[in-house]
Amino acid sequence: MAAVEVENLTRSYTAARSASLFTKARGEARQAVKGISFDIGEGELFGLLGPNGAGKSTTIKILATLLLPTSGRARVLGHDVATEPTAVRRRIGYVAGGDRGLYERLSARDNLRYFAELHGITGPRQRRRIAELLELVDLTDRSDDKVEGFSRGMRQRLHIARGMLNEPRVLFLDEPTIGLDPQAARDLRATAAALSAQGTTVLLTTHYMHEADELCARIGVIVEGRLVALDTPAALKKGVSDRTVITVEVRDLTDRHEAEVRALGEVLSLAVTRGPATQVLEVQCADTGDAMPGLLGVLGSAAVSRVDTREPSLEDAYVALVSRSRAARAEADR
Amino acid sequence: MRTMRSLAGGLRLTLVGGFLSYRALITFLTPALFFVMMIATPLFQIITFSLLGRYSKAETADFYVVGTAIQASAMAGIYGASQAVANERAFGTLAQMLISPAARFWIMLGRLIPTCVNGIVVAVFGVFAGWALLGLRLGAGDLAPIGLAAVCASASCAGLGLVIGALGLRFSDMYFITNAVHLVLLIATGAVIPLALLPEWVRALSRLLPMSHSIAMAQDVVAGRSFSALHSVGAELLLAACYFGVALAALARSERQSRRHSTLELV
Repeated sequence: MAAVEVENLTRSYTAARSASLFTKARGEARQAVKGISFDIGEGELFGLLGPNGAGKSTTIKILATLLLPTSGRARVLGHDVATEPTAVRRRIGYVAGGDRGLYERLSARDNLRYFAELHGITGPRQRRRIAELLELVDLTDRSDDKVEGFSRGMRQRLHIARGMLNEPRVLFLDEPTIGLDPQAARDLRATAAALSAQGTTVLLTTHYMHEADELCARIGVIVEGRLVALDTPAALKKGVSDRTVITVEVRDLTDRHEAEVRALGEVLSLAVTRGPATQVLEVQCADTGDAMPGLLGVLGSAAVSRVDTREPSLEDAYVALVSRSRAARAEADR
Repeated sequence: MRTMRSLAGGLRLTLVGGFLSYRALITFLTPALFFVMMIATPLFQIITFSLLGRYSKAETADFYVVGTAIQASAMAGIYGASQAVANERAFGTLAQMLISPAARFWIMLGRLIPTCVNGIVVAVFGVFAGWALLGLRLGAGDLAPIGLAAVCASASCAGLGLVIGALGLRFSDMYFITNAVHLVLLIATGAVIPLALLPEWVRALSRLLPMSHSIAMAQDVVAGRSFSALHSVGAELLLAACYFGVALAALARSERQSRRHSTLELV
């Protein structure tokens, strides 16, 4: 039996303006998840990638019983998330990124105590579990300090400890490494991998491709509510193995340059990262020799400072999938 | 056996979880704010309305002192209990509460009991202040029924506070309701204006409001009038149970609506 089963799941939102006593919440209806299906095996570490607003968090919230699907079906360990929420809640942990979601006036230990009480974990088992988790997330020294004085990274580590309190069989990690320093993020990845090795099913969303590449047995890519790819990281990378990535660092990139690069026939996809002093273009193309002259011609006036070529990574595969999906959508809309 | 374990677990969640959530969610627990809201404001309220009442001569001075002392616990019940629920949304912790398997009955009871105890403390302090500063005459035999009135008034008031808190999960204007309700409880419960002087519809309303039955009982006690403790306590506790039930239903409805329409902006 799969630990998580998702069948033709859809979810529509009415983007709500906050309700008041005198007004109803209303807004534009929007379909956030559009008929996605996938399974996650027991003990599997599964990644869900996608741009902001693609539907990843909505999918996790449905699986964690916080939202109902509009149509379709989702089961966690055989329990329907819509009709058996309590059975699902007993078996899952849910960690969302961000500063909020903790009781600021309570200490780290008391936060964990309260959530342990909510899960019915009491007595010596509670004390032992809290001590283990505080040790695991390296907060033992600060365990009796109020959370209001915690840095973002410390809060995130406490979120993670809370999500693992009830020793969940399925753990949802929604961008868990946001705000963590590199060492803490590495520790978290090690923890997630260890949990998976011990049989915990982990569903991870992240924007960090190296994280997904390192951890996930399989990855689903969601774009605009649709699952556009579902495979192992190696297979996803293979999908762009016929490509080469040209990295060009420039100092004076304009929108016109960007549009002209996109318009080049040899360019299959483009990602731009803008830094304070320089801009980096990651250009995917089928053949470096064909693309390079046109590319350098267009960027000649953008003060090129560095040009490299390399083999495609998971990030390149992801960028290609997202670009391809958006282009197909735009074509269909036209 | 399983039922007993479940009951013990629920009671533990109510007491231990309730105490932790009270510390976590109530915003007036800093020493300065607690002093202003739970000591100074009730004290000045008791002094002001007792002196005004004394000059009105509509009732005895003790009538106003004991009435306003019991009514002073409304601040703890209305503001405390409403914050104990609605601040889950404000602090971004609501999602974690909602995805816990814990029975909502025990969670809500845990939100009620600490605010109820807070209310009792304020009312007892008010009665003591009335005795020490305003010459409230109390016999030894009066203490038990007045204490009972304080307990019942605090319980029903906290019940109404939970209802407001459950509505506050859904609506952003909770303090509009708490402020309005606090004023209504001041005027329409018989603490500062004898109910006999109020219009019939306000008297009818007062029977459905928290505190009015307890205040009437305490006022009868200090006046040496006969009273039915069973009737007053029964009516007040029935109101407390009704408000608690409405709060649970409102929470359940908010939770259903939230899952359907994502209305609680969970995380």
